[in-house]
Amino acid sequence: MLDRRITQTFVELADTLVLRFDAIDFLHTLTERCVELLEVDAVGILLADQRGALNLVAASTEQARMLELFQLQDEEGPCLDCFHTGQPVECVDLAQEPQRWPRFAGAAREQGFSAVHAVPMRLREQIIGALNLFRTSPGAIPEDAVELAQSFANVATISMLQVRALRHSEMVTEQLQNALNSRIVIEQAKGILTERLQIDVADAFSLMRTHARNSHQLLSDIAQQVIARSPEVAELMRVDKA
Amino acid sequence: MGTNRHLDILVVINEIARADQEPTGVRHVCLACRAGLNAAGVGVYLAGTVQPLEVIGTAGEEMAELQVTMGEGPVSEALRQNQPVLVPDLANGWSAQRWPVFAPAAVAAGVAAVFVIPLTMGAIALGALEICRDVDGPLSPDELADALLFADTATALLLGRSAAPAALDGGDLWGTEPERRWGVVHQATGMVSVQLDTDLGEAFLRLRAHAYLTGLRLSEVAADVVARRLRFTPDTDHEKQR
Repeated sequence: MLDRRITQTFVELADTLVLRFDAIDFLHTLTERCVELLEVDAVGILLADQRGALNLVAASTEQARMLELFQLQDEEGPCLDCFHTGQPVECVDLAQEPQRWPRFAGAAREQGFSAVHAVPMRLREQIIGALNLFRTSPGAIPEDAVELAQSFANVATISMLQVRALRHSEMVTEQLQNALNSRIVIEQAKGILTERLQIDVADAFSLMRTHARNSHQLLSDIAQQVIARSPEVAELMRVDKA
Repeated sequence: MGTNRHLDILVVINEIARADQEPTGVRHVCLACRAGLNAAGVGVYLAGTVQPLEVIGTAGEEMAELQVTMGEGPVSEALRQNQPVLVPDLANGWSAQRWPVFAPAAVAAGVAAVFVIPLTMGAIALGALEICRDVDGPLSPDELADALLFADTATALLLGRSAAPAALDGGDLWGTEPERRWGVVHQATGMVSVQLDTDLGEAFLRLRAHAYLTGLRLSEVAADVVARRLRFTPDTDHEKQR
């Protein structure tokens, strides 16, 4: 049954890539599938910008404390190590290794996590970021799940950089910067909807995502429309709707 | 990591400004950028205007004139697409195909490579930084990182300039930028823009000013906004702690 679900996921991801697609939306879908298929409890994707800093671009949760935990790895943690070495990094029991990443381990355990894994996102020689997996119970992730995680990380890398369109190496930077900026646009739009409708951030995100799906538009286009208060999203932004 | 690099660059910019006996401005960023990246010319362009805000070097002036005259070139492309346009060789076939009129003229004017980086933060699009070189070849990863940091600094200065509250002069450039990576900052920017009924740029400035005045980190102030512990109000020009 699981094999079938994995196949479906790759089909779903491949189908998305054929059409004009939104990188950030795609990566969110990927984090959700990872949680479902890898028997992990939370997943985040961090991308390095050209300044050498890690940015959280997608996560399986919108819970604020959890997002902080991912972003904390800009300073220390498995993602940072993974990004620097280009190798997978794991800690099967954070309680056994409190000194490895003192600040990160403390914050992770406070959130109820016991084990953490990071898998590199790599295009040829270049490491562009890492896929980060959290589990609430200690222990290693099964070998086949690690392999699957690496495949997902590879698909994410290819999708991000839209390799089909890469004519020269400069375009990696151009695409990466574009994706990072598009994620900021989405965060700004989430804030606008959150305040306008007095809902929480997670709901603002799903509202925009659903609207993008239903109207066959890109998530980042919807976000731009929200920021511009365009007539196209008037319905989405109406305060008095049920 | 990126942060030290950023501080090094700010030191250079501030030194140039001090030697000029002026508050740190976009011109000093351009001067530092030209020296740091061996550029023949550097320019800063604002979105929606054809004339550059600041140009250093004859090559920079030449490039500005060519692009205005011919109505094509890397600057307008970077502004339109809101992503970097990196051209390591203006004389090759790809450049000639991309800008049939502009590219040969730029080469004739002695410019061999050009790198344009948008000055942007999500949907806040301010302009672009153009770096021209008289030798072809790509920017090294370190040079590219520096170019992006020069662009960040110019963005911060332009944002500050648009509203110019007294507290936000050049001195405030220190240590504000890395927190851009935190999603919560951009969500809070969106929320504050609704609370104040302003654009995102103004909202971001108000957040920064509040962090500056209270001595809190920008990400902490942002977290307070998103958690609805802090609200900005337009009438009193002061923030309300809940």
